[in-house]
Amino acid sequence: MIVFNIIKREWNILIHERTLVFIVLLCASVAYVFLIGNLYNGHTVQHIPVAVCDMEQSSLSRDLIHDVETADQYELVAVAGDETTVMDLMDNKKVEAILIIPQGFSKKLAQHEQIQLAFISDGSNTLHQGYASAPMQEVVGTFSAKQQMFSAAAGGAPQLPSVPVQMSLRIMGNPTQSYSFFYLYGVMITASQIGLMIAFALAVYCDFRKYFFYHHGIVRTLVAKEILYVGLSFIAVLLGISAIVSVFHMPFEGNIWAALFLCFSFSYAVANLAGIVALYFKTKLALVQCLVFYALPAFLMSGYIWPDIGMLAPVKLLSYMIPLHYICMDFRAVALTGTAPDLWFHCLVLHIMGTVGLLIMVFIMHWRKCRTELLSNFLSLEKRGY
Amino acid sequence: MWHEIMKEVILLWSVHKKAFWMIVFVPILYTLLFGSLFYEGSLTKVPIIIENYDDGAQGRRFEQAFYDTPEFIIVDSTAVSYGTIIIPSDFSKKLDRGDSVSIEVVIDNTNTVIGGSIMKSIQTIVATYNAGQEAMNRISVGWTPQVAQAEAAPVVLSSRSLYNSTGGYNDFFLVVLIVHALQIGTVFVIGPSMVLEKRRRRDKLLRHPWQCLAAKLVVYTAIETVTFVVCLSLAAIIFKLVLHGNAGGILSLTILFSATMTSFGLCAGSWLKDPVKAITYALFYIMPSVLFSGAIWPRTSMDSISLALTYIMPIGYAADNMRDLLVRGFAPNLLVDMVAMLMMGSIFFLAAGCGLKRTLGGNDRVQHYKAGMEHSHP
Repeated sequence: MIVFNIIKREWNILIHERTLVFIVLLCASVAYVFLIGNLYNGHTVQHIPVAVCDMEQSSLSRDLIHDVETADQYELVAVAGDETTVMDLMDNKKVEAILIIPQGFSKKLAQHEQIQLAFISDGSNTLHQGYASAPMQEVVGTFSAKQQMFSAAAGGAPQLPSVPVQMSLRIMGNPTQSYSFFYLYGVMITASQIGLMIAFALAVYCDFRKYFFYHHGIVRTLVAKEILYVGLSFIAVLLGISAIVSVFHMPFEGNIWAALFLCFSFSYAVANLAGIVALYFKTKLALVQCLVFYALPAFLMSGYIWPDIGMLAPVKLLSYMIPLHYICMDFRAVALTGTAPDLWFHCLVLHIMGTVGLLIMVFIMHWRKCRTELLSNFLSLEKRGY
Repeated sequence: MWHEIMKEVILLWSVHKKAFWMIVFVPILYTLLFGSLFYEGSLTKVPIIIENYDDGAQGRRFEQAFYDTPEFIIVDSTAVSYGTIIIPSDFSKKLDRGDSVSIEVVIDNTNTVIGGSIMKSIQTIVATYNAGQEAMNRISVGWTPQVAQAEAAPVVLSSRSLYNSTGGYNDFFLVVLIVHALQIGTVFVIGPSMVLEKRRRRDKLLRHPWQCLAAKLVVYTAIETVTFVVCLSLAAIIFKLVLHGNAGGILSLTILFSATMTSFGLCAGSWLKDPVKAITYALFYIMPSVLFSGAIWPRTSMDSISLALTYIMPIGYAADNMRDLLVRGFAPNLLVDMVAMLMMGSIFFLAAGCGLKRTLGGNDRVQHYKAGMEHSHP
């Protein structure tokens, strides 16, 4: 009954005194899903502006230009006869890539000589460049195979397999290289983390300063707070998943209960870690500043974007200390492939993190309580003249 | 004005010391953290599994090509891996006969950075192997080696990437993150400081609001500019970030961006009464801003709503230009974007002044009213 009353009190404070925090806690994940989901709605980089420098201007080169023009990913901005014009376009960022067809293109093909086409891309944006080069390789590969076939037919050459080793490619998880699939689940969880951390830390901070924990029992109050805040964060994640699946039509292949249990473990760990931070800071402002400064490095260093196999050892060690490390990749794997081999182990790690955090919080509060009592006893004794 | 600036500096050292250190240390810390994160630049030693069911020479040679690639580390089937290559039992037999053979490649692409890296490397290995094999096939049926090579791939694409040829993540991402770190440090510190300042120096701010704001703008912009220069220097020295652009352009952009973000922080702090709210509201801008800067996801692939959002975020005018200046050596849109940023900064600054007058003036009216009431009912 007391726990219920504390929850009720906490709810009233959240609704009436910390309305903005309540909005962040409940709506941040959904808001970010809509923002980022809409940003990556095209899934891959499309309409990449390209230019072709056609130094030959023959029917064969025009065939190749037509192939480039009809590729879905490209938007052919210009076809020029000289290299300076297309390089100027690239320098002025009007195009992201250039294909150069050299002089003697048709002649060399007819003479069975190999021809090199130059493909120059702007590498300053690695993401853009990655998306730009793959379709061009496909276009040129197809064109090359076509020419090979014509050449073999015309010359009466013996039929040989054009590609001796073929790849039967099976891409699991994200076959279309969609950026939304890659990003959205992690962003949603990170947004929910910020809301939960700020809300829970402020709740602990304020009541700790008002001695509320001492009057109503440390463990009891903490449990009540965690029920409310972890519960609300859980609802926020559920709303986020619903928005991702229903609005942005992203797959959720795995067991939803396993994913939700992972979320619960994560919220439990994050809430308790935020609680410890709340006990350390002397002002509310410094506390909130610390939590918002934590958000970006936590996301980037979790291994969600840049994987831990590409990290230096000390950075990897830091990454293992961040709760997001144990949820983001697993959550995405469960959603996209249906399985995450380390899911239960990571749940356990998060529970251990949370429980250790909770014990540290209880210990600090208890220690402060004893110190305060000791101090007040001492002062009362002093007053009495002992 | 000079007097006001000196006062602001003294105030910063005496009252807002923590704010000063936060503005300086947050971007530096982020630079060091993110620089170390992307230190390797590209992924190497990605664990993959090779299941070779062929016991012929061709199969062994093909398998060896994967062992020789630094991008991969071959692990056994029980270990964690991101891809599997299955070489069928008739691989050598079919190739020796001159037939086509298909290998199975399974890639875990849940993380597209890993998946993309694996795919690129496998395609390179297979293409190289194929070119050699095709040429050998043709020579074996009586073609001359030159024609055989040409016929194996009549048209080849020779790719060249300008400005960041290795595709390193530091040159691509680190600059953007440093710019982002600068705005995080600024917005989350100046906003709340301004709220607290309104409580401490109410009378002074009420008498000379524009002078006080201008002094703050000058002092904080100077600190942020110096901080950014330190961050860039650290990134260049420790993480080998390329610095191709001219110092004048980089410095102008930094000063303008810092001034705009300071004005944004002052604006938030002037209108709000609670320092925590100044942070919470700013969160709505800060969190998505780096993704909407146009420096990662290109503007050409955005819909109209997202595109509109990129144009109302100051970082949208700074991040891509800063990277262009550093990596390419010049930024074609620099001038236009700087004018846009100047306008945006001016609007924030005017809004900050109005907010200050309104919040402090509003309180003042209430005080006058209360005083009047006390006089009328002694």
